[in-house]
Amino acid sequence: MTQEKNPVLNEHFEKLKELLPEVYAKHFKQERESRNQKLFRMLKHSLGVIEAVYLQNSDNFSMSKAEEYAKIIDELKELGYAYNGHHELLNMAANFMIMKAKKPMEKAMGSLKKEDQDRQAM
Amino acid sequence: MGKVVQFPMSPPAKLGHRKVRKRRKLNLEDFGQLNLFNQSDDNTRVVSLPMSDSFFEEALRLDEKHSPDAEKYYLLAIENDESVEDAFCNLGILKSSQGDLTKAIDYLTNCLKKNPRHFEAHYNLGNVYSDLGNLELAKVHYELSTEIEPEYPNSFYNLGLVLISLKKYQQAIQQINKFVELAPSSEHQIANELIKTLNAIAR
Repeated sequence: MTQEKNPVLNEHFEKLKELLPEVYAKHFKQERESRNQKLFRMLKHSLGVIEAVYLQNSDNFSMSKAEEYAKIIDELKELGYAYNGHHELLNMAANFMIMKAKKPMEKAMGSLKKEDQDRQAM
Repeated sequence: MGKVVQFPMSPPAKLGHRKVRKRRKLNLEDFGQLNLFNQSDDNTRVVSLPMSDSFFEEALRLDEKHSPDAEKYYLLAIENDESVEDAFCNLGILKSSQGDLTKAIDYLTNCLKKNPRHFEAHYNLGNVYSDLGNLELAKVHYELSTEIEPEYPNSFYNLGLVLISLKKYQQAIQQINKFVELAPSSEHQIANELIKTLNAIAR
């Protein structure tokens, strides 16, 4: 119906179909979807392995690794896939990100600092 | 009749730039002076003297320039009993920046062995423990640093962040408010935003 109403658009889409058949052809679309699903399954499996490694020895699991894990899950969500992730690992990553904003270390200045304090007192 | 006397003609002096000519070197020792400028042909090594008076100050200077020699001078300062606790503390910072957190803790705790109330060591240990994810220990060290140096704002800020991670939002707000009281106004904006978010979460 829409095609009948918009002959210009109709022509435009016909051209697109010619130029990008892999996008518009039904079987290509189905193939792509199934490939994405397969990739998603593989990714879920990999994330499961990471979680198992964490559960086996959480002491050796660094904060930066947890952050990377959380980034993957965030990206998956952005792409429209649902994966909740491991609660503890996500919590660890969140803490790491919070603590990244901390103020830097403070050098001890030896007698230089004491001299400055004396000057201030005067 | 007057006699015309010929004016003596001499070639005009050349004006303008004048080249420097190589002079014959004077042997100063002929005049009884010790010649300090004669270079001997031996391969004597030229050693640059440290710019500062002490090993610790030299270490600090090198540390500011991010020179790898800073570590060597801090160790020399410790060997020579110069600002030992501060040298240990700064070695801890160096090791932490190199990612060697275990060695960083070792140096910082050595500093505390010398002076259990070393404020910077407690504050820096707080940072190292929070990097390691040990938030309870980080909290203890930040709290100690706020007790020892209650005018230093950054301890309150970092303590606030640890408390957020521990989900103690009301306490975190208190600490970040203290940071705002003590810190220069240029640092207020982020802290105020954080307080706003925390207030929303804590409700």
